[in-house]
Amino acid sequence: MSEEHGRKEDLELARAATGGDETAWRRIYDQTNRQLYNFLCYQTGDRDAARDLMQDTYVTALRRLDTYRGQGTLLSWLRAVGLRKCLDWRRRASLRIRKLATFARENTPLAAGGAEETFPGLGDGFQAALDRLSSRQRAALLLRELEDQPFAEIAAALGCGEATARVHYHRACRNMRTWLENGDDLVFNGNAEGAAS
Amino acid sequence: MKRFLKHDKYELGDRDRESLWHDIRRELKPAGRPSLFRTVRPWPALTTAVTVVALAALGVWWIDSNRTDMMGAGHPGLLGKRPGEVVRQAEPAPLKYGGKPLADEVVEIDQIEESASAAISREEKESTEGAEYMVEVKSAVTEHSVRSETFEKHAIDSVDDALSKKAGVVNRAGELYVRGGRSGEVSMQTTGVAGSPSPTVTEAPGKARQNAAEDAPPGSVTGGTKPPNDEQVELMYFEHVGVNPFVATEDDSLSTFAVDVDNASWTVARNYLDRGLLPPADAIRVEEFVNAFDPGWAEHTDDVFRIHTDAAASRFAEGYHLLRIGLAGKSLGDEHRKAANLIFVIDISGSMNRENRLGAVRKSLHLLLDELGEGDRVGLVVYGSRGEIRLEPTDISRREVIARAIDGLASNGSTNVYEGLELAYGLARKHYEPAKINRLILCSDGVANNGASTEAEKILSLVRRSSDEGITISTIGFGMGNYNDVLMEKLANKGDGNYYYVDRQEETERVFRENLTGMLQTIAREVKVQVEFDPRLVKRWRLLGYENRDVADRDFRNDAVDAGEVGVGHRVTALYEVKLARTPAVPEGISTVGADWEGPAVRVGTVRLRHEAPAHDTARAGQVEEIEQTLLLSQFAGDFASGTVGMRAQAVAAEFAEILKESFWAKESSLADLVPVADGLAAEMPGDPTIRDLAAMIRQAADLQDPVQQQEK
Repeated sequence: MSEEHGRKEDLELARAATGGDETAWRRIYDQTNRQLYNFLCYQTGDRDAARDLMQDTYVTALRRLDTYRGQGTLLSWLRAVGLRKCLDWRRRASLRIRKLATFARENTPLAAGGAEETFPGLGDGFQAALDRLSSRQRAALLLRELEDQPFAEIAAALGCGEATARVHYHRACRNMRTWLENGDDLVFNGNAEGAAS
Repeated sequence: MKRFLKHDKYELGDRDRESLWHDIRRELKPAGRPSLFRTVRPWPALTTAVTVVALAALGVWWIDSNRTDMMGAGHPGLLGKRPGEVVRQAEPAPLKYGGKPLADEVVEIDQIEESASAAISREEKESTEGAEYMVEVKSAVTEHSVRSETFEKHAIDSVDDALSKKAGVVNRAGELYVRGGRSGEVSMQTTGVAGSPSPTVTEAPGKARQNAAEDAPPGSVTGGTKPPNDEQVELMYFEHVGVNPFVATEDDSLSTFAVDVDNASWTVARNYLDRGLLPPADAIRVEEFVNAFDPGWAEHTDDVFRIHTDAAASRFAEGYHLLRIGLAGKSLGDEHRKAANLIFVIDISGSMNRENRLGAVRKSLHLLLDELGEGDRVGLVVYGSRGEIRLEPTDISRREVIARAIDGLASNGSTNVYEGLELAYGLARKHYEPAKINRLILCSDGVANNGASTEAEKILSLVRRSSDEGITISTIGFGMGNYNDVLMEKLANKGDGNYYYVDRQEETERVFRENLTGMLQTIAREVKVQVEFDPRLVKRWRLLGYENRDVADRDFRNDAVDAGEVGVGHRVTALYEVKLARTPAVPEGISTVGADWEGPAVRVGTVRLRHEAPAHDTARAGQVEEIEQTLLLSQFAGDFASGTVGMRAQAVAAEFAEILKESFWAKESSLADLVPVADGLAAEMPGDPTIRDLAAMIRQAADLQDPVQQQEK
C-alpha cells in the first residue's frame, strides 16, 4: 500500500468518523493503538502514564477529526497529538508527582503480575538513558529512529522549525551515545529523575 | 540506535486494549455538550456505595458462577440471589446530604448500565500550550457507567481488581487510591476504598471510606491533603475554558467579547486560599480577578457609558505592553434606584445545611432587607425536593412579615432547582410591573440534583425566556465542597443578572449594601466590546481572560447574540497584552522605542461598545447604541511603574490569576516574584481592602505552591 494511497484512505476513514460513526472510530483505534502505545511508552517511560495519555489523545483527536486534512497518515497525526499531550504532561508533572510515582513504583508489590507488569524502564539501560533526555530531544529521536519520520514532520509535531528539530535530534543522539558508552551509574540504576532538566 | 528501538517493545494486553477503548468511547459519547450539570444523582456518596456493592455482587456472582469458593459465607444479602439480580442496599447517606434513604429494590443486572455509576473522577488534562490550540470545554468530573457486558467479558476477581482497571486508580499494597492532582480537582470518593479481601459489602461504605482515608499513610498517592473541617473536597464543578492565545493582528485585527462585571471567581479563590488550598486552575477567570479592583476611573452621571483607556509596559514580557480598556457605567445615587419587585429563591436542600450555608443566606437576606426602601416588594420561594411559595410578594412596609419568613428557613431534601425557579418566575410574572425592576435572587450552592429536569438546557431556556420578558435573575453562591460554579455563572449570564460568590461577612456587605443599586438596576444589556487594532502598528495581541465570553467578530452588530449586562456604577476592565510593531511599518517621525513618543496623534486602534437599553427603561427599551474611542500611540509611552495604582493592581491581579490558571503565558512568572510587587501596592494604598487581600492571597498561594515546582520554574 503506497503512502499516497494510505493517506487517501485515512482521509476517507476520518471523514466517516467525523460524524460520530462508532465503527469508524473503532477502525481508527484498531489501526493505530499498537504503534501509538509503543511510542507513548518510549516517550514517557511509564506504562500507566502512557495509557492515560493515550486515552486523552484519542478523546481529543476523535473529537477533532475535522482538523485532520490528510497531510500525513492518520497515525502520524495522532502521534503528533499524543506528543503534544506528552510534552504538556511533562511540563505539568512537578518533581513531587514524579517522586510519588517513583515511590509507588518501588512499593508496588511486584508479585501480582510479574516484572513485566510493572514499569518497563527499570533495569533497561536504554530506556533509562532515553528518560534522561529532555522531552523534545527524546521525541525527535523517537520520531526519527523509531518512526522514520522526515524532519519536516518532526518539526511540525514538535511545533518548531526544521533546523531546531535537527538540533534536537543530533543532541539526543550525542547524549545517548555518551551515556550508553560510558554506562555511568545514572543510566543503569533506573533513576529517571535526571530527566527533569 | 535503531536496534534498540522496537515497534513491538511495549504492548497492551487484549484486555487492557478493550478497557481503554471502552474508556475512550465513554468519554466521547456525551461529547459536544459542556457538562453543565453533571448528573449528580441524589446521593453521590451513596451512588458510589451502591456501585461498590454492585461491583462486589458482580464479583461474587462471577466467582460463584465459576464455582470457586473465595467469598465464603457471610453475605446473606447477596448470596442466595439468582445470578442477574443485585440487591441495592439502602444505606444512610454518609455525607450530610439529608437525602431520604433508598428503599430496598432489586435491580436487574442489565439495568446497571444507567444506574450504577462508579463516580470515579479523574483530572482532565488539557493542552493549553503553543500554537496548536485545542480549547475544549470539559468538566472536572466524569462519571463512569458500568456495563453488564463488560463484566461478562472481563471476569474480575475482586472489587479492587475491577476498580483498579480504571484510569486514575492505583493499587498500592492492596489499597486503592485516586492518583494525583491539585486540590479540589481530585475526587476522593473512591480514595481508600479498602482493598482486598473485599470488606465493603458488609461494612457501611461510608465508614469504610472514612477509615481508609484516615489510615492513608503520609505521602500516599491520593494527591490531596486531608480536606479542611473534615469536609470531603469533592464535586466542585468548574469549567475548563482554556487560555486565550496571542493573535497576529495581520490574521485578525478584531477582538470581540461580551462584558463580565462579576468577580465571583475572585471570592471563590479567596475562599480556597483561606482554607489553605490552592484553587483549581479551572476555578480561575482572569477577568473576574481584574474586575474585583477599583480601576480608578472617575464616576459620571450623564452618559450611559464612558470608555477609558491607558497602557504601560507589560510585566509579563519585555517589549510588550499592557493595554487597559475600561468601561464605566453611569452612577446614580441610591435614591434614584427604581423600585424593585424581588423574589428570593432559596435553596434549602440538605447540602445547604453544611457549614451553615443557610445561616449565611439568612444573614445576607436580612442585610438586604435593611437596604430596601419605599415601593420595594419581596416574595420568597424555597426549594428542596419540591418548590414552595413561602411568601407572596409583600410590600416592604410589612418588614416584620418578610423577616419572619426569612427566619423560618430550614433545610430539607434534595435540590429541585427547576421547580423552585418555575414557581418563582410564575410569581414574578403575576406581579410584574413594567416600570419596576423585576428580579429573582437565587441563593444556592448550585447543586442541581433532583427534579424533572436537571439538564442544563431546560433550566437555562426558562431563565433566558423570562429575561426576555423582563424578569432577570442574580445568583449568589454559598458554600464549598460541592459547589457548582458553572451553573451559577451560566444562570446569571443567561438571566441578565450578576453572579456573586459570598465567602465572608464583608463580601455580603459589599454585595448587598454597597453594590445593591448596581446589582438591581441594569443600565444596559447585551453589552459587547470590539477592539480593532491597526495591523501596521500592532503586531500581536492577546486578551487576558474573557475566555468564556467570546463573541464572533461578525456578531458584534448582531443584537440577537446574548452578551453581558451592566448595572449602575459598574466598571468593567479588559486587559490586553500587545506587541507594537517596530519600524518600518510605523509612520515617519514616530519612534516606538524609548519614551520619546510625544508626537502627532497616531491611531493604534479603536474601541467600540454596543449595548441595548434594558426593559425597565421604558422610554428607550430595546434601543441599541454604539460608542467608540480611539487608541493613541502616545498612550503606550510609560513604563509599568508610571501606571496608575488602579492599573498596576489590576495588572498584578491578572498575573496572579494567570499563574493560578497555569496559563502558558505566565509560565515565566512566579508567585514569589509577585509578592513584593503586591506588598508595595498594599503599602501605597493602605485603605484598600481588596489590594490588601491581594497581597495576602499571593503570599498564601506562594507558600502553598510546591517549593520544588517553584524551583523548577
